[in-house]
Amino acid sequence: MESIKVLIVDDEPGMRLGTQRVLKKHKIDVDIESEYQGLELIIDLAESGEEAREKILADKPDIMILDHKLPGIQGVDLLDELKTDKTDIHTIMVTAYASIEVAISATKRGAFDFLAKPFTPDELKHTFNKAVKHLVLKWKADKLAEEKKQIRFEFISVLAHELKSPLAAVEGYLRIIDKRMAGDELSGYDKMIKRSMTRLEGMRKMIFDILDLTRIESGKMKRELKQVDIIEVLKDSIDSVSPDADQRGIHIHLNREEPLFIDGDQTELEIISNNFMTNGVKYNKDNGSLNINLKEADDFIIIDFIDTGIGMTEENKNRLFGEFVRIKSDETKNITGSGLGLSIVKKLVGFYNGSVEVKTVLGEGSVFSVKLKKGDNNG
Amino acid sequence: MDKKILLVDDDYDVREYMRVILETKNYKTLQAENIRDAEGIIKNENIDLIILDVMMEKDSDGFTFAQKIKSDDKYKSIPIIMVTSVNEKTGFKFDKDSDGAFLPVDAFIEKPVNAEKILTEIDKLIN
Repeated sequence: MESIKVLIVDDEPGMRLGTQRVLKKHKIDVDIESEYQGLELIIDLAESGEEAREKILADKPDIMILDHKLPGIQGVDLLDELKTDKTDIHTIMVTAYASIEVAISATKRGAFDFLAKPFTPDELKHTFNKAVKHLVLKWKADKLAEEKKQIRFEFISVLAHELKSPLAAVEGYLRIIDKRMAGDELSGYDKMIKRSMTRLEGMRKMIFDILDLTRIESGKMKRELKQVDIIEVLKDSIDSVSPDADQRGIHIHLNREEPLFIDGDQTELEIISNNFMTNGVKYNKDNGSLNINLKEADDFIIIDFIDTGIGMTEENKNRLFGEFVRIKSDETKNITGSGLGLSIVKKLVGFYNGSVEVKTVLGEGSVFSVKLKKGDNNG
Repeated sequence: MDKKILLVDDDYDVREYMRVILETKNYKTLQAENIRDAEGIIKNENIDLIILDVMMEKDSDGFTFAQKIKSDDKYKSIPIIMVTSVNEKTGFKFDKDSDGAFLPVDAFIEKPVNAEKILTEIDKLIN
């Protein structure tokens, strides 16, 4: 992409060479991003429509300066051909006289711009610059579309892999059970059945989370902003994780009782709160604790979720917010999760001009600090 | 003496059901959930065969590891069976006769693993 290929088509040698000379000396000066700076021009010449056609077939130019009146095939006819072939070339049509009809007909046939003979070097440069600018914008748009496609492809690939893993696990266990490979005692299969159920549960969670994530990303999730008491939201989350926490002797404590209002969407805040609350219990140790501490700082609320759980290595901490990332270890193998929870949270927290920070020590616990703006969270 | 097979897969359940399958033929299994652990085990134990998942943390981890084993004089005689479900993902069908020729493994088995198939492959490679 460091060069722009230019083809000059004119039957008059003087015009061909003159145009070439102007462009050769011309420094491309369009307001474009640095990655497109220093573009080099590679100029080629053709003296007839036929020769131009051959050259285009051999090596498609980016910009063509095409004389309207040519001895054989006419400029506009060449344009017609190119249009049906869908070769996208930025064509500057050169006409013998400034005729609006020719200009319209050329534009209709796919010309980018036109120049009326006789033209000055400055006029040529100006029109040429416009074409370059347009070309570069098109390159950029193409590149962006390509990147988007790539990201989507990667997401789907990872998703497929993540959904296939539990299926492979369950299928593997079922085949063993089917063939009674672990003996005739039914109890010998208990663990396999339990593991299969755990994997299926994880798979269902993943499907729900994917729906949430795509809904948020597509803007299909309707936001209803109102004054929401964050304390109520946190208390509801505590209630929903309490059965699991009680069973494992995990103590949960919230440091504030009086209401604290935030301009937000109830569902969004619930998703954020539930995620940290379930993580704080799931990745905790038996008889551990989860403290939720609220602070106010200027226009922001900071909620710290402090657990005495398994913690993480620095390396895993840095991967944490990636899609489908789950920290795999002996301690986490029985914990279900989609690996999407924190991706979802991160997107939602963005709606509140907020951030999530993590401090963690392997084997000792983690602190997730969520910062949310109190007011004006309308996008 | 029972043959020792090293299972390398980051999915606990895959290692678990493979262990059950292998134990029906009295193979002793050792397990690693990542390449680092696998390297440690290979150094310290006399492994007779490796069953390796193609995709772990990074896409090509299994391949890199297999290449390393096969280019090390001390270990290159250890047969490797690669377990893969990649064919669907990339449309790239693994086949020992064609693509397998330049890959550093001795056999391919597709996920979900068929017990009889993998036991037959193992039998061919180490007995």
